[in-house]
Amino acid sequence: MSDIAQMMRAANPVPDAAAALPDVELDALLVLTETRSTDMSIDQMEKAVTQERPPYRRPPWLVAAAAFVAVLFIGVAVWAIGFGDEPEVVDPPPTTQATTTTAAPVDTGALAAIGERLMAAFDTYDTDTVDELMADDAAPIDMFGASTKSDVLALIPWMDATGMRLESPRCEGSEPDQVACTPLQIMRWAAAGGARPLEGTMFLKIEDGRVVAMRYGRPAFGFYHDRFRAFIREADPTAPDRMWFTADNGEPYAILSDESYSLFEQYTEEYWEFLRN
Amino acid sequence: MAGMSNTLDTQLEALYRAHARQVHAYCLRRTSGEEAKDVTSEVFLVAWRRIDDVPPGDQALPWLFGVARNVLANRNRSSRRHGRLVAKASQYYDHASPGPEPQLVRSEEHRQLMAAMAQLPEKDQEILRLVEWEGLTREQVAEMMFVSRAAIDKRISRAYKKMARTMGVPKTDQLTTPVTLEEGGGA
Repeated sequence: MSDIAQMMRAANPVPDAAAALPDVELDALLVLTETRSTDMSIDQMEKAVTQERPPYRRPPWLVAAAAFVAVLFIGVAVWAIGFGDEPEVVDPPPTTQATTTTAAPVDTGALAAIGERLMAAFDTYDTDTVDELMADDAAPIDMFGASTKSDVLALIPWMDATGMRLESPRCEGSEPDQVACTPLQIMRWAAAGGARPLEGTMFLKIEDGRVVAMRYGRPAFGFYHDRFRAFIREADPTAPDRMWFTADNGEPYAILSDESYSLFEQYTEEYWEFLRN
Repeated sequence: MAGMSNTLDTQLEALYRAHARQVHAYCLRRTSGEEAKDVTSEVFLVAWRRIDDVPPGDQALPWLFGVARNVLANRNRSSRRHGRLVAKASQYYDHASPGPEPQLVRSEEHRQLMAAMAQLPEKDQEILRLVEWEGLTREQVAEMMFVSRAAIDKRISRAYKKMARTMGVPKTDQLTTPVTLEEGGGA
């Protein structure tokens, strides 16, 4: 070999594509593809691509690394945590007591409006409005791994950076002090690979005009774990500690920090363009 | 194809007929034989779903490679496993069968080459594979990677120089000569 380029060509492990897939196998594979396309629903096709992981328990939090504000567990938390298949409420409804029987009628429309305002604030990455609508001691549960109000506020720029959207939410009163909102959840890095949006349900408990508890319910089908792994591998293979880390359970956790926001934004854009082109 | 049903439309079949072998070869260069077929099938399932997104003409193949790359990335749990499967596929599909002596030489050369290649950044490795094995033009690779053609040229030149240094191969003028589609190996 006179040079590396020629050596590379000679080292081609499949020098003859036609020989590697003879006519009969080419036709058989087409039949297989056709069968899969008709036998599988769109949801099943998505699962075949994304290879959903089993649900995991609530994620741990990164408490080290002073540079990092918080840790967001992405691997499974977004969709697989918490709720069972049946929707639940944030907290058990309060036991009816004599002292509450004289309570004023609940304006469920007003509660729904608060819920829709909050969801719109998430979708527009409006940290100030989320801050305003959440009580300081609000208790998020299964909210992408956030467990305090400050976590939720730190989550918003990450959503912005990764192009995650909670689109067109509708909220309806589900209990006297609770509303359920059903956003369409869009992740740009997953959508770039053809993944469809997910439907989720967010339950909000509202007191005195502010959200005191929130819980994100499992969507119709799972989190695109493998797509996320593919994304982060593509995005930052040489310095994962700057954007994410792998926890002991083997799942990737996104890191929330000013540095990671900009890295996620940069690589999401590149990933999107790469897959689109 | 006889028995082609109504469900798989003619547009997809045309796409499949035009590119399935190249997509399969792409997968086979990166994973095992059975998985390569499975991934190829998945790639065309995605194409079937997103047939309107598939670019026309010369860009269809890089688009399909992009989907295949993504599907494979989803499946590959670790680079070590990936490397083993590539090596396995490489051995299994050595159809050229050049005979004992050249085979021995080639094996050592291949080993050295693969070792040198493994020291490159993953993106550079992929660019070399796309140009030299998949037969894409540098323009197509640039489009696929969303970088300029000049950037691809620079990366390839740099990669070959680094590989030559690693392997102790004398540098030649050809190392920096752009490779056209006709020169490329490919499927």
